Amino acid sequence: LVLILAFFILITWAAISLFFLVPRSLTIEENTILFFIINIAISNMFIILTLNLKLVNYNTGYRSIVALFAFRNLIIPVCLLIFLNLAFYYSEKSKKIFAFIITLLLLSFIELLTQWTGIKIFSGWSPFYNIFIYILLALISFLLVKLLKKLP
Amino acid sequence: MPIIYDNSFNKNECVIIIFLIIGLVLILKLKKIFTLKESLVYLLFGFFSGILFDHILSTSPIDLYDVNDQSYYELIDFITYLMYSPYSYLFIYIYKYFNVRLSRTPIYILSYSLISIMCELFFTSMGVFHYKNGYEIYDSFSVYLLTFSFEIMLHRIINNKKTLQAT
Repeated sequence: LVLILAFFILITWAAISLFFLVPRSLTIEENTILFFIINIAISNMFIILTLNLKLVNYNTGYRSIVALFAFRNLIIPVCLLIFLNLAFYYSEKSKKIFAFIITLLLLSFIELLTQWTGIKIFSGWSPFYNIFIYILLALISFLLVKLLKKLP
Repeated sequence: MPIIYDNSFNKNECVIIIFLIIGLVLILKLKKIFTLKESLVYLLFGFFSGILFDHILSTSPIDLYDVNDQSYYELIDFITYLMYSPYSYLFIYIYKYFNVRLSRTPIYILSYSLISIMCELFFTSMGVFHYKNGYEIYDSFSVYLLTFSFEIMLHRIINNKKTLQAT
C-alpha cells in the first residue's frame, strides 16, 4: 500500500501535466465548469454507492483514502477533461474515437487497480458498472460541451 | 447503523429552502457583471466545494459531523450543497463590484469567513449540522478561509486569462 499511494500520486501528477500539455480547445471557464460538474456527479454517485446502498466499501487507512480521493476527485475529472479537449480539437472522427478509447482504457485500468489493491471493496457491485458510468459521463460531458459552446 | 436525528420536514429543511430561494432571487435581481459562463463557474464553485469538503470531513474515516436528519445521504443534503451556490457567487460579485484591491483581499476573505461562521452557527442551531468526534464550529473557519481564498484565486486566474486574450 505504500507503493500504491505513490503510484496514484504519480498518475494524478501525470494526468494534470498531460492536461496542460495537450492542445486545449475549451476555454478556462468551460474547463472549470466541466471539472466541477464531473466532480459533483462522481462524488454523489460514490457517496450513494458507499454510504446509502453499501454496495461498495473502502479501506479507511490513510494511504488508501488519499489514493481514493486522488482517483475520485482528480484523476477521473482530469482524464475526462483531456478527452473532451482533444475531442473538440481534432476534426477527424477517428481521432476523437481514439482519444475516447484511450481515456476509457486508462480509467478502467485504474478502477480495476482500486479493487486489486483493496482500496475499494465491491459487494453486490462490479467495477465494470463504474466503467459503464464513466462512459456515460464522458458522453454526457461531450454533449454538455456542445451546449456550453453555444453560450455567449 | 445510521444516526437518525429526526424524521420529519421541519426547521432545518425550511431554513435551507428559504436561504436557497433568497440567494437565487438575490443573484437574479443583481446587475449582471459577469458573462453567463463565468457566473456558472462561481455558482458551481460553491456547490463543488460544499460537496468536496462535506464528503471528506463528514464521512468515514474522518466523520466529524452529519448533515440534516440522518448520517445517510438524503435529497435535502444535496439541496444544502446547492444552497452554497448563490452565496459563493455573491462572494465574488461583491469583490468585483466594489473592486476590492489585492492588499485588502485578505480582510475581505476574513470578513466573509466570519459571516459564514455566523451563518453556520445559525444552521447548527436549526439542526442542519450535527457535530461529532470533537468537531467544533471554529474548525470550520479554516475551511472557509481556504475555500474563499481558492475562489479569489480562480477569479484572478480567469480575469488574467481574459486580459491576456484581449491584448
